[in-house]
Amino acid sequence: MDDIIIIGSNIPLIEDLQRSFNSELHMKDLGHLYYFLGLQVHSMSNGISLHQHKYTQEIFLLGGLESGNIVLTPLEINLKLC
Amino acid sequence: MLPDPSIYRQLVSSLKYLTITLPDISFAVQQVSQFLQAPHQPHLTVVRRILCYLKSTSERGLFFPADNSLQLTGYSDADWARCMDTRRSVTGWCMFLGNAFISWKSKKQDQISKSSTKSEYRAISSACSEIVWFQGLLRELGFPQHTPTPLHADNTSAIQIATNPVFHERIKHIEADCYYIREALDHNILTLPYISTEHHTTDVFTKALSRLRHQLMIDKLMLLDRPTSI
Repeated sequence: MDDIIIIGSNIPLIEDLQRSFNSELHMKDLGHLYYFLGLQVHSMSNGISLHQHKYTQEIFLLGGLESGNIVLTPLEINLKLC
Repeated sequence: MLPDPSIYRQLVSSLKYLTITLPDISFAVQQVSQFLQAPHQPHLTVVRRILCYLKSTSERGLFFPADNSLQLTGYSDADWARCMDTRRSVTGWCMFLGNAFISWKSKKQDQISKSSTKSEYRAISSACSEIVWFQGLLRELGFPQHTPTPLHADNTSAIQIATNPVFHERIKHIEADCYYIREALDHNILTLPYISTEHHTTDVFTKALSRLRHQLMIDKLMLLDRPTSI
């Protein structure tokens, strides 16, 4: 099963495209885009926000870090890694 | 070396996927992904620190404003000889469409540069390729750019070399990149305005920053906490 995202500002045109897809293929309209491959989409009146909150929680589980200290930068300054 | 490197690899590849919406961890993730082959305990510690950082950002996301101009703007930078082990430089550039942050790069250069100007040049050349690609894409989508794309850089000698053919003798060794950038300037694809290091938006892609500077970069990249409450 494959998913397709249709993005555009012209609603009638999008509906046209959906109809033409429907006439050729068996398709189901899942409505507005909220979640796709771990990517969460928030539509608001003033714009769109993309985030991966759910995916981040999964990484915490993987890293065994449900609880831990919070730091405010991702990397120490002048850290020698090599 | 770690007894079981697979968990390290899994964590780093997950973090790489997370950079799609969290560009502020790009440089840190680029750093830890150099050790996938043979990770040691200190490397895992750095990965855990990134996770601890994510704890503070778990509500964060990239914001794309609806009322936005469609003018492409770029920022390019290089941190010369950043890698302590190989003395290679790090390329960092980013692109905005209006106020929306749409593309970025944090990558160790694959050749050693003997001067900062040279590493800067490599970064500009890489950013230039991205601009050419974006202009083509925007044209195809019906939003052609009518003015050259400003690519901001903070290295005056790199800008001078690009705009003044007299410097030829000094830049023989980086000819291909140089000619590529000059051609782009000649064809009005881009301009190279100077920006002070302080106002540059790229150092988050080339080095580790202080808390204050890091927070400033997050604001510039339109990374917003709790996007639902805007």
